[in-house]
Amino acid sequence: MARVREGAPEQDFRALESLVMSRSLTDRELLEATERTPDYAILPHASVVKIGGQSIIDRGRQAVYPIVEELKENFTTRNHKLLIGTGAGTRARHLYSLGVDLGLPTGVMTILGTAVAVQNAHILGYLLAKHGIPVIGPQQFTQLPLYLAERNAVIFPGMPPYTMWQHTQKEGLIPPHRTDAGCFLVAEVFGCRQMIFVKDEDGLYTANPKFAANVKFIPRISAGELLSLKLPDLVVEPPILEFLQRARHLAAIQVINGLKPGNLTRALDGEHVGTIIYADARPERKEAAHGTPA
Amino acid sequence: MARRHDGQPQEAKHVASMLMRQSLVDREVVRSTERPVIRILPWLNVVKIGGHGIIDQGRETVFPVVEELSRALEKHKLLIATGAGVRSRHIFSIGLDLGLPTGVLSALSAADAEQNGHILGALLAKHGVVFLPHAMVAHQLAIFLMTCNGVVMNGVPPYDLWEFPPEVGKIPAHRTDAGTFLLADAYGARQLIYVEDVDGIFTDDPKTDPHAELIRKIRADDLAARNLRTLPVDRLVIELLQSARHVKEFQIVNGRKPGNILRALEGEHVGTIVYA
Repeated sequence: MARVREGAPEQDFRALESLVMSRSLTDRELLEATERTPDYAILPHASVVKIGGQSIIDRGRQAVYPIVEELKENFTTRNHKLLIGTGAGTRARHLYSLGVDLGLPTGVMTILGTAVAVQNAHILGYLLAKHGIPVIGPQQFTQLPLYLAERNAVIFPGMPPYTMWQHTQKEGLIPPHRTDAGCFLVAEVFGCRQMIFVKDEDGLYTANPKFAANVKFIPRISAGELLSLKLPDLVVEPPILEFLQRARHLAAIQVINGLKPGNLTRALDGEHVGTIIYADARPERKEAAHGTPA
Repeated sequence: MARRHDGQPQEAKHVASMLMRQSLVDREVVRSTERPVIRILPWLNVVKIGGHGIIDQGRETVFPVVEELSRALEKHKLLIATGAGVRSRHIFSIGLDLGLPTGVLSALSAADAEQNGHILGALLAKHGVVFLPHAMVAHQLAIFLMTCNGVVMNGVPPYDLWEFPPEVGKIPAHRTDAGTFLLADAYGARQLIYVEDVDGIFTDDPKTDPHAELIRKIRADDLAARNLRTLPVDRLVIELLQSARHVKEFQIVNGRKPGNILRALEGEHVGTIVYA
């Protein structure tokens, strides 16, 4: 339980307490004072692995069985602690298409998309049931540490629980914070050691390799640089880049191709097998970081 | 048509739809999904009652506000959201000292606004008003408001452990003002009123600076540009206002001056109006 800063903790606490109790929570001085507080990593030994919906689960047996086997190897014999989040995929696209056609608000679309990520979590849950792996919803996250200690893994639907309270995009009705964002935020709030996105491409390209010709692979890039490239498409949801820049624990994410056997295992061991996107240095913050080494 | 990689397993089993095989991140695809959005509850009025400014002040402030809300129920359908107030400040200061992350602070503070919701629920119960948890607000609000003109909810949105990492520091950005705003917009509410203990937005904090001037009406981007040191509403709502589909303005009113809530519900300009 490392207190990051040197100094007189008791005095710091009193000064901060008086600001927090007396000032508006919009007050700049108060916010800056909270910036200088220590960070406690709740589950520093765990890794979050997101299994893509359209990219993996919608492919059926051919893609899902090998990845389920590789997950199992890693949380059993290889003793990794895994929080396994699921994407939504093609049924969410169908629901979003209907929702757009009907003019449904983004909050309702979020409720619809959440159900698809839940279905995919249940699919993985049944395939891993014989190893005692539970599927948990947002309300069961308080029990997660016990499941992780007992079974080394849990499965959760990747969608954040925002439902009707989802943000709207400036243009377009698709929910902006979906399963990539939900999994990232889980990794960050628990101070996990890494965040791995398992998809069906080797990582990030200059354009979507499924549609464009002459695309260039980007093995490693900072979030700031990636934001400044303003690429028309990305391999992860854009809000993650901003989150990564602001994160206090995660220093990087890795996007890997889960259709290639062994990639997940190597990534969990800290190898660079896909695209690593890392946070630009914020020296005052990254002292307690547990992310993939930059 | 999706390109096939060499040696890659067969394509995913798709459901035919406009967005089939599409990247939901592609900016053009996202842009193509813009449509006029329906108002789910076009008759809904959303009123947020401040935690610190109103509820923490006790009987002297709360009873007249409750009385005014009960009169408003005779004419308007109200979703009443509650703020968190001083107990959240306390748990923030403990949590920060322990090094707990923003998501945990958010999950902890949700309980404080919820208790304030139960308090207002108890005071308004004789009019048929009940406190509803988030899941019911998201799915059963219509039937409750058809039965009785008022419902109380927790203003903190269900962001819980999934709160965003803040730009500066660790205080959760989605607090009760943002939660109330997001829900009002999702339901297509006809108006949104924040009830606080000040007359509106001032050029500085009116509690500490006697020369602070009231800003009666201001556009969201102008307000953001003024970069005021402190505000009676969370900064995030100014940003949310600029991408909202239905809530194009909100009013901040002083709930300690009798009649203000009723007048604001009638469309009168009694506090500060912020518009998109």
